[in-house]
Amino acid sequence: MNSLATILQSRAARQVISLLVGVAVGVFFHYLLYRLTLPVQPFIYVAF
Amino acid sequence: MTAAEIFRGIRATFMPKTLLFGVAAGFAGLCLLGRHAARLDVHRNYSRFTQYTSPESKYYPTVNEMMAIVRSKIKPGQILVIVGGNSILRGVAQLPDQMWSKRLQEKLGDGYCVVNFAFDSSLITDGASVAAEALRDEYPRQIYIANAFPAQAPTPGGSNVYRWVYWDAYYKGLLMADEPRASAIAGNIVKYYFKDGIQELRISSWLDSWCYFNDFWNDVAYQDFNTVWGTLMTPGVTRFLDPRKRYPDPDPDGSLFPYDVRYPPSTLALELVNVKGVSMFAFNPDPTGDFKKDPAAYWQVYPPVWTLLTDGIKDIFPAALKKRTLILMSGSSPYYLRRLTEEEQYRDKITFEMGVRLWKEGGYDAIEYGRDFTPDDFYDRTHLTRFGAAKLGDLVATKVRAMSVELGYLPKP
Amino acid sequence: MIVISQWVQSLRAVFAPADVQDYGRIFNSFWFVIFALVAIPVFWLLRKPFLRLPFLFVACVTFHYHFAGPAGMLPIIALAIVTYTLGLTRNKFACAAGIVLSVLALCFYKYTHFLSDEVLGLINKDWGPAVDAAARKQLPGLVAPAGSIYLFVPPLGMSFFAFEFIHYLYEVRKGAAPLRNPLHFAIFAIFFPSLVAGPIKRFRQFVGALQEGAANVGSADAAEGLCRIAMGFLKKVVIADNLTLALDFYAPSVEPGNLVVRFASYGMVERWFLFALIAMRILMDFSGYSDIAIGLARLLGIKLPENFNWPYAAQSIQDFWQRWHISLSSWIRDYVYIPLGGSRHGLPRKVFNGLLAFALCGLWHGPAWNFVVWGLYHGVGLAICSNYAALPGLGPRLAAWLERQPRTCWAFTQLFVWLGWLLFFYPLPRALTMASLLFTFK
Repeated sequence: MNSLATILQSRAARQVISLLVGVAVGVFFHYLLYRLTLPVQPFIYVAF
Repeated sequence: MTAAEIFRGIRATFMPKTLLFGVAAGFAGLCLLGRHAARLDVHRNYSRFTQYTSPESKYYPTVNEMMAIVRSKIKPGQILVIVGGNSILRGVAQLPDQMWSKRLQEKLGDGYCVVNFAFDSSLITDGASVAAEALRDEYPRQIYIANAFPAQAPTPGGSNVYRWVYWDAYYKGLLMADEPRASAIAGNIVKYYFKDGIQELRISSWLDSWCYFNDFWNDVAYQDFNTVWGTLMTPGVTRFLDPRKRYPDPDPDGSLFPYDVRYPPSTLALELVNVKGVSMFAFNPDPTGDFKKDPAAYWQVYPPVWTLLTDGIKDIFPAALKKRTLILMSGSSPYYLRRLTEEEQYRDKITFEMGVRLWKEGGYDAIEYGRDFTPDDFYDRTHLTRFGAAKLGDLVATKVRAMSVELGYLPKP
Repeated sequence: MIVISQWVQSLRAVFAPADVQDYGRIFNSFWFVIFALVAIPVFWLLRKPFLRLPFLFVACVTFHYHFAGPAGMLPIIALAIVTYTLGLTRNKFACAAGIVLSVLALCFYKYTHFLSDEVLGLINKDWGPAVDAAARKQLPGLVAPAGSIYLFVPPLGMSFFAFEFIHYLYEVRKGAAPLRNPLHFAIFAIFFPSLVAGPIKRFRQFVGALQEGAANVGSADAAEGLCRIAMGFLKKVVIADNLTLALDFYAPSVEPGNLVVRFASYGMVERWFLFALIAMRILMDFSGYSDIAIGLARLLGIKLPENFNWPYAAQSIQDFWQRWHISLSSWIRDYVYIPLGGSRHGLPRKVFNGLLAFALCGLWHGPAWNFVVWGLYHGVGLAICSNYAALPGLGPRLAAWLERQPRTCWAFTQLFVWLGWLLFFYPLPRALTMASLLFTFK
């Protein structure tokens, strides 16, 4: 845990992690559009 | 430290602008990869769309996917024959090697390339017709084959289940501009039940024409891993995360099933009603539910049904594509037909003749099949066994050759 | 020309009202994708709060109109205007009247059928249908389709609107300053990220966050919001939707009569697996929704209250209710339990207040007995959990032992909560049979 904290203090590591997380989110949004074209399930709580 | 605190700690280290750049880059990158995937044929050794590569299991092939299949199968100089229609033409109850369209390919020989894009319960105007239209300039020597029942009016732009292919091609600019068809589709959207969901479908197709998410993720689902549970996921036969290419082609050899399974005595009465139903609505009913005859004892045609057909087929395709379309009128198994009265059999016969005539008058080509088949040729009331598949393949091959000459694809013999 | 015609057609599609099939698709609809892609960047680009807030209001109205339609909007607008006006008076009686009006509106739309058929029907079986028939005759335009659990079609998000308006008037009645700026109140009322299913907002916290967001939204908000939205959709689309489809495969909802038979036909492992699917599906579905709502608000620089905090890590029932649907449980605490007297009048009264609050919490989810039973089940659980240590003899020793056994506490708590989901989703006899099958070997 401490080593993770040390890594996260480095600016370069933070840049890389932020970029990777961002790319993952962007990829996921692309996948999301595909999933929304398939029949989707309504949100349960919308009925309440 | 709890998991929530760890997550919060990591989130606090994110550099917002870098992360936002990453989001944009990740999304844009996949849009570009999607454009690339749209040109790839992932269905190697394609024979047909099975239940595991169709909407039944939440897999929606795109028009680009179909076009890529054609491009990888066709050889230079071949005439393209695209098969659409419903489960009958998809080859239900036929193993891939026994499929009628394979027989058609064998009979036609190397000068033709037959590709089967039929889906269960689909109409003449569904996916295959869209793929054929999208390939009209690339492969102008083409014939489109689909099946129908007499007096069955198709819906322009496709049926409720399969119309995504039309809108997919429409927003990608792959279809011919055709005002009559556009009006017919707009009219249908306003008039009929398939208004439901059309807004979502159109927005998604429009977005997909920019982002190519369907092509990319279909490619992944087919080749790499599946992400959507479907009700056909049967433990032991299919596994949720397996790529679709590993799923079996589940159609059995229907000819091996005994008659009691194919023609169950328990459903005989119901199936006879269905067989009669093909022609029932085509004729004028009297108040008792029977059908009116004219003084010469002929059945009186019921004009509203046939008007619906003639109006319906008028604008489903652009005029230029009608002549290369062959409609197969799917007959019922003689197992049932022979159990009808002579008069009912006659009524069935003239219904089919009328259907063929009206399609021809509408500018298409049409033939009927099945009346001279045997019960062994049918798997059930409508689907064919490998024996029937062979007969249909032979019959259609002869017709396709004739059409090729008529359309000027081949010189007159 | 073709390109232009396609654009025109696309625009027409975007501006058409929602389809019948789109009901229930809110954040997971393509219409919403387009809406968000337009509304949020425009909000960012406007830069000045005096431009951003009116624009946000217009966006909220567009969203509300699209998903609720005029029939769904009008009752909410009327209720909002009344609530805003009564709040301005700061008159205690007027505020109380407004609270009663919100409660009546909620009861009218959601519970008329339940009250007439299930409650009046208990007294005299002819009264329920008679009241139903009279109501249908008087208000034919509002009647829900046949087979609905409602007599009248409830406006979209009715339960959430009613609770927010009641909270507003209750706080003003207690002396809080009302919202004078109608734009602030209007955005509080129909803020699109939380309009349909919460989180249930508190107006002072919200308006503060709204002003802060309109003035200072930045890239950190955008990054945080996008990550949160992605997390929400991951929970909903990837996990919950697949779980729903798997549940439908193993325990088809289309043949509810066979559900118990199917459940009984499985082995123990499969039964417990299905049981876990049911529990995970509701968590992923609703916490996913809340994540998306919170993330969307964050894209506008606005912080909404959290709704979930790892509820399946809770080690007691009290702990669970501080982690599950937090905005609802805290609302019930503040506006039902405490006004009833809370724990201030002795143990029996405390238990009664708790049971009543939880029964209402259950009923809030829908007009059906299984929700009431689910609420009471949690009320009883909470009463036992918070009072067992006071039992003479065994109580203190058990409490001391459990304090040293956090894993046991966790296991019992989760078993209790997860069994509760059977009551939540299924009618009582079926839920009880399924629960007993979990402990019955074939």
